[in-house]
Amino acid sequence: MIRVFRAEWRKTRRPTLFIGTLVAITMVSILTSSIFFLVMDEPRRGREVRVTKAMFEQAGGLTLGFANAGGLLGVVALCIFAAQMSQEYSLGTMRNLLVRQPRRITLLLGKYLSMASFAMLIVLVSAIVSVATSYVGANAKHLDTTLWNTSAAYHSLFLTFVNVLIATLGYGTIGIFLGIILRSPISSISIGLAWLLIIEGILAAVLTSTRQWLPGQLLSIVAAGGDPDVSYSRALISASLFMVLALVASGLLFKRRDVSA
Amino acid sequence: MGGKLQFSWQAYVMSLSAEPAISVSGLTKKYGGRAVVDHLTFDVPKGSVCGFVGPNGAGKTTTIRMLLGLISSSDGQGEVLGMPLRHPENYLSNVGAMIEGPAFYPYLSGRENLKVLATLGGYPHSRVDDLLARVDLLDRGGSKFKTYSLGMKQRLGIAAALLPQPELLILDEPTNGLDPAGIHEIRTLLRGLADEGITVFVSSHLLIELEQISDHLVILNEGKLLFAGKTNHLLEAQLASIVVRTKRDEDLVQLAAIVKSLGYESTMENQTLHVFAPVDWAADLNRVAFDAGIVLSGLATSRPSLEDTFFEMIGGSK
Repeated sequence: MIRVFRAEWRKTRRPTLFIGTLVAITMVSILTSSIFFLVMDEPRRGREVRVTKAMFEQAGGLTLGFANAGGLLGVVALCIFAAQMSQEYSLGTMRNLLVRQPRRITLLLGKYLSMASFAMLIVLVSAIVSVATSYVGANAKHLDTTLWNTSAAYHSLFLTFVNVLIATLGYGTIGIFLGIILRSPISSISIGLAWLLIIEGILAAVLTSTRQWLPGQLLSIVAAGGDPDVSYSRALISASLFMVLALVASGLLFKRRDVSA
Repeated sequence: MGGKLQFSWQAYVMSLSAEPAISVSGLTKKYGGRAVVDHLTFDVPKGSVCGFVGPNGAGKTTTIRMLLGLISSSDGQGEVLGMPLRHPENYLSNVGAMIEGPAFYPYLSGRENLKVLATLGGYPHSRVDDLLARVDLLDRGGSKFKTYSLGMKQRLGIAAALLPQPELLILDEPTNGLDPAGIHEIRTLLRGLADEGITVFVSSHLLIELEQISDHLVILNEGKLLFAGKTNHLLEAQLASIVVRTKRDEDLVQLAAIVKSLGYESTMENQTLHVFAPVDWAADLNRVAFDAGIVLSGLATSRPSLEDTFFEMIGGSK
């Protein structure tokens, strides 16, 4: 499995994917963290204020921007996992991989762990950039950041990192599942994004109770550490079940299906 | 020098081995009830170059995929390097393969593509440049795969197949897209590999090439086995002909009648008479023509080529 992991990283480290993704993640993290400072204490078209100065000055204020980036990191992970998996079919390289590593579950797990490590790096970079942006934003808005240097703030940062990482890996698992089923990067990414961003979005908006059953919604709730509609623990358990199901289904399909591409 | 002697000795010992490199029995693959590969039974002896021949859709690539564990068989069994087909993980570390053309990551260089596979298979990266040199790609090893010509891609595919220093090399149409010089290079390379003791199982549409390099042949049509055995046995089994040209064209008709009276069939083509008789009857034919006052201006023997034999077997025409 270590050999699969290392071989996969040889592909992942190519500049267009590796540097390109990290630059994009940096930009997205700066943007999502900055937006919160820009809309601080601003009412949203007749709705309640989303973030306040008081919220920022709490210990958890340090991670508000980072948690906000969680959903976007998930989308990036879904695209990378789906593309990396399905391109092996569309390029015909899966047959090379299976000749050199015929143990299919080992190959799948090695690829998954390699992509998961890349996802972890993405989340880490996003965390660092978001926290740095938060300090810059707090300074520009003259916020009191005394509580950001307490153990409670570090604990909150750690929890947010773990939650965003779980959510990102969850989105990535959906990406792998779609990549194996559809075997085409364009189909797997477009169907994945259409489901998570459009269909789930409409369902959740029309019928709020469906949020506890929709994998994308559940992962967003995990990344945010829970929300008023669905508790964190319920979201984590339900999302984990979805992910285990997706991984088992991916494994069975990958192990049994003929490779004719 | 010592190394070469050692390789030759190894090849000799392997050629004596009774155990085939590939042995399948009743191998079948069905899709929706239709048999794409239908009860194939054949052996490929170790150390041989075995040509795998058949028209498009004959089931060659499907058979190769079953040998490599990429697709499961519907029925039958087999062994590769003495290990059962159902456990490809036990033998694929000693098998090199190129299936349905070279498939690599277009955004990586040729060298990096080989390193991905070397890492995956646990082979030393030092082999990568040796193999690039062997297939004459060392200068372009750093170029992205997507910039390669078709011939270069084929050569990189062969280099990838050689990564594990295989006992068995399975190549599907390795000469596709190559120019005559490239085809000659591949032919020389395959023959050289066989001389080192590597068994080569190669499918190709270029029957003239296969005829030159193959010791053994497996011929398929519509998923069914038509022939499996030594190339020379197949060609020798085909009826040879004696090609006769007479000084006067009108003598051909008379000579054909004489040949028929002696129990042999013949056909006339382009002012020549093709007599279907054993080649050692040519001297007798010369004598009976002389006795009949017919002067021969040409007398030659002709054996059908693999291409002729193949088309005759599948009942088609060139």
